[in-house]
Amino acid sequence: MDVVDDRERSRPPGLPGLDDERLRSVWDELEEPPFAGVAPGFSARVMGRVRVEAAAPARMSWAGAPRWAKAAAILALSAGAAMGAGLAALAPHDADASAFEEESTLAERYLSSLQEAGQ
Amino acid sequence: MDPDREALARVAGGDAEAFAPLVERHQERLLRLCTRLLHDPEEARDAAQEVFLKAYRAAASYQPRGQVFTWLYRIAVNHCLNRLRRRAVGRFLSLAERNEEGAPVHDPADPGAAPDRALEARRRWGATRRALAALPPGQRAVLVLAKFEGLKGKEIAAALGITEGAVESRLVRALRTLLKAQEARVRRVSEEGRENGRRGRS
Repeated sequence: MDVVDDRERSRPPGLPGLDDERLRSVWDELEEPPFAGVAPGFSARVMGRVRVEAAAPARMSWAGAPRWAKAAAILALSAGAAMGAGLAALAPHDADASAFEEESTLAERYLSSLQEAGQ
Repeated sequence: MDPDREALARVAGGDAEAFAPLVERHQERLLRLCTRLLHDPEEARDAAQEVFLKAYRAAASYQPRGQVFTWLYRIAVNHCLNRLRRRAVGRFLSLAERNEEGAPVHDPADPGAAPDRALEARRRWGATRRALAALPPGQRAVLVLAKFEGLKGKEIAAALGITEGAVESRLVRALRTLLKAQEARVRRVSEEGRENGRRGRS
């Protein structure tokens, strides 16, 4: 991406679509936006914001985290998921069944009370 | 060692002041690029500041493969494209558009130019600005990078993260859209002329 001179810039790139004379004329007629130059103090403003960032405590972000921290986080997540799955497998199934029964009874009671209220 | 790479290495090591020479070296070209893409000097200044801040934050993750400016360039193009997309969404939602269709054309002071030449340049740029504003951001970016930045297809593809084939097709589609708009404008003007002529006779 080197700086090119005006003569080079005015030439369309060697793209097949630009063989069309009408497209080429559209290309030639495109006018560059006016550029008023760099406003005085621009770099000072940028550096002011950079200094504010530098002085602020580092923000926590996944992208900015070192590799060891990312690896540790992934390891901890995997260990947690495995432990959860293991505990779920070890849990007695009867407990699930009794909880379901209890919920069903509650629902039945609720429906019957609604029916009674309707009558 | 390349001074830009050295500056980034020092910034990554915690020396924020090492970023200043890098800003000084690249501010003009980055600002010009943002102006070419956004067509709004005020927004371009904001965008260029944001681009430098993004580069400062990402200094630690910079991979010293190509030139630092190419890396900055990519950040700038992506940042401006995101702004253009947000602008397009805003226009879709009928929010106020600050400096696009129907708004006064940007008119920077150019003390060196003769008044009639400056006026002509302003008129021509106004036409280009209105035409480019109607293009989707992706096509507009390809056209600006090819025409005003003078980048080759391969370089545009690298800057936008697309294939060279996509660059070609976007460029051709953009020019066809501009051509259609131009032809429609010519038709409209000639119809208006005929209409005025009829009114004058009757």
